[in-house]
Amino acid sequence: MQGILLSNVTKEFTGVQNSKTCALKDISLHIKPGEFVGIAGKNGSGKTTLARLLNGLLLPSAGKVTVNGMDTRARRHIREIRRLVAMVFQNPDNQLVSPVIEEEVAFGPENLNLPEDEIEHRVEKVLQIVGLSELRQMSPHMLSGGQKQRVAIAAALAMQPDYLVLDEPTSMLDQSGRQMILEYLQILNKQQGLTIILISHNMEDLTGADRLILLQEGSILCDAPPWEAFNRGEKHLDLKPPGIVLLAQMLRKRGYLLDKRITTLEQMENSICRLLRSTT
Amino acid sequence: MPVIEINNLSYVYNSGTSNGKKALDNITLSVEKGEFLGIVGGNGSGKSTLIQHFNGLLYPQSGSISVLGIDPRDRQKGKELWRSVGLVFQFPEQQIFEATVFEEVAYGLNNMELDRAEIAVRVDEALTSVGLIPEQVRDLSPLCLSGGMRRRIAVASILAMKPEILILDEPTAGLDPEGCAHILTTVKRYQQEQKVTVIMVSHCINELIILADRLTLLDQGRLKAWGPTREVLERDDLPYGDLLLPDYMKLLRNLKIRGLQVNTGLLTVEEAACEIERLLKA
Repeated sequence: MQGILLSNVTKEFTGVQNSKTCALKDISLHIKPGEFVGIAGKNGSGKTTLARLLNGLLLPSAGKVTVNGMDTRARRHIREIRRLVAMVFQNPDNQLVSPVIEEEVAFGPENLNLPEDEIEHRVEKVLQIVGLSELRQMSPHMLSGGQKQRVAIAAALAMQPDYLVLDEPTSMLDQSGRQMILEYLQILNKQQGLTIILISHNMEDLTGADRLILLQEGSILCDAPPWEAFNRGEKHLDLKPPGIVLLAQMLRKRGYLLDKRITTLEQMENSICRLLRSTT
Repeated sequence: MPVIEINNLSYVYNSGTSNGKKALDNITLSVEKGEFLGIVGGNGSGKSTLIQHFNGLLYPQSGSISVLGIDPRDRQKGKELWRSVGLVFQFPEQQIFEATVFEEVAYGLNNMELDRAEIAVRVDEALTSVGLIPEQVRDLSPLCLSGGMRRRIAVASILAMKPEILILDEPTAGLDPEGCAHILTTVKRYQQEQKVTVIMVSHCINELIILADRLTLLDQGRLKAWGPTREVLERDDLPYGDLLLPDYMKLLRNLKIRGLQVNTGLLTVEEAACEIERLLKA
């Protein structure tokens, strides 16, 4: 089956004195090709464990994970799975190794034994996508946090993956860096059809997702479109909905008719203007 | 009465080489005793460089600075600032190195040459003020605690020194909302109970608008705004101010740009909802 399929996945870690911690409990989930999936949850809810199960960095203690039908436990599939499911971690400094940006981006394709001109073609293309073509000869260490994160994304894209998993890629960035990354992800998803799995604490990062999966103590608490998840009420949500959603909820309580699907600034601004016109 | 006074402070990294980068450009600023000052700005705006001048980690290349009446460059008195100005770095949990939580928190106190009994009391007080139970954590290795817990221990080790000025550089970066709220309440309570001055750096304006009495906005090393929080937020002329603002505040600004009479100096979602209701009723 196409997509990433988790069937009754449980993941346990063994701690000191053989004590077991259960990071994920009996999770079943199907991520379809082309989806933009947001994953949220408190520290310790199992977000990172889930991400690492998707490309076989971790293997399930029970249950099964398949990527386009290939089981992550099968050794013969693991190279192909790693190429299909690319990862970008929280802190780009932890994953950038090369002294020059273009070498960093070429690192993955070189390991695929691709011909020289194909590698060059890919490097050029992905650096263009993330807007760093002009800086390709520079050292990643000279870049700002946002630019480094874009280098990490470019390196992941150079593998031509089907799935891009990002584990809190914006937590180190300021607002403009954050917005830039989120816009790239939308473009990659909508224009190139790349499947995106984005993990974040910040609900505002996840408003653009098709689906929001909320984890709580290793279980799926909610799997719904973001607007629906946000409006299920504070008691079901471990995390605070975005400010715009809270604002819309408050105005609804005061009797104003606002669409339940509002999650972004733009939607809210349009709705308010419509209300203003209708009252005058 | 100001506890920190800065006049025309500038700082250039790699000065004199072709890689020179101006991190601070002619900053003039003062910090009042007992206030909570928020410093905001994007990545690379000079926030961290500025606060490292407050306890003499960096010396001004031009301009002057006086902290608690002392010039950090003064050979005799400058050294006293490490006791009276407590600086919590970015990701302070990465610099924890002692074998037990007690030793970690006691580290600065040992250097202050306090007696054992006094140190034990101060460690317990500091652990309690960051919401930990001393009996439970004192003898643990910091390595077996979560990142959020280690962050609290790093903050406790500064609080234990009872600094007159507490400076925090991005204290909530990388924590989940619960961890953030915990650190922020600790800091605010400490400021109010101990009547100390707090300076907090953040690229996330959301947390500062509620806590800070005054805000400073830095942009590429320049001081773009400095004043009471509401007044800074009311201004329309600030450089990428919009990018730093939460969405509900951007909404108010956008409505104002559309020509509506909107008050943009509002801090919370509740206040924004009231303002929009007022608009809709008018």
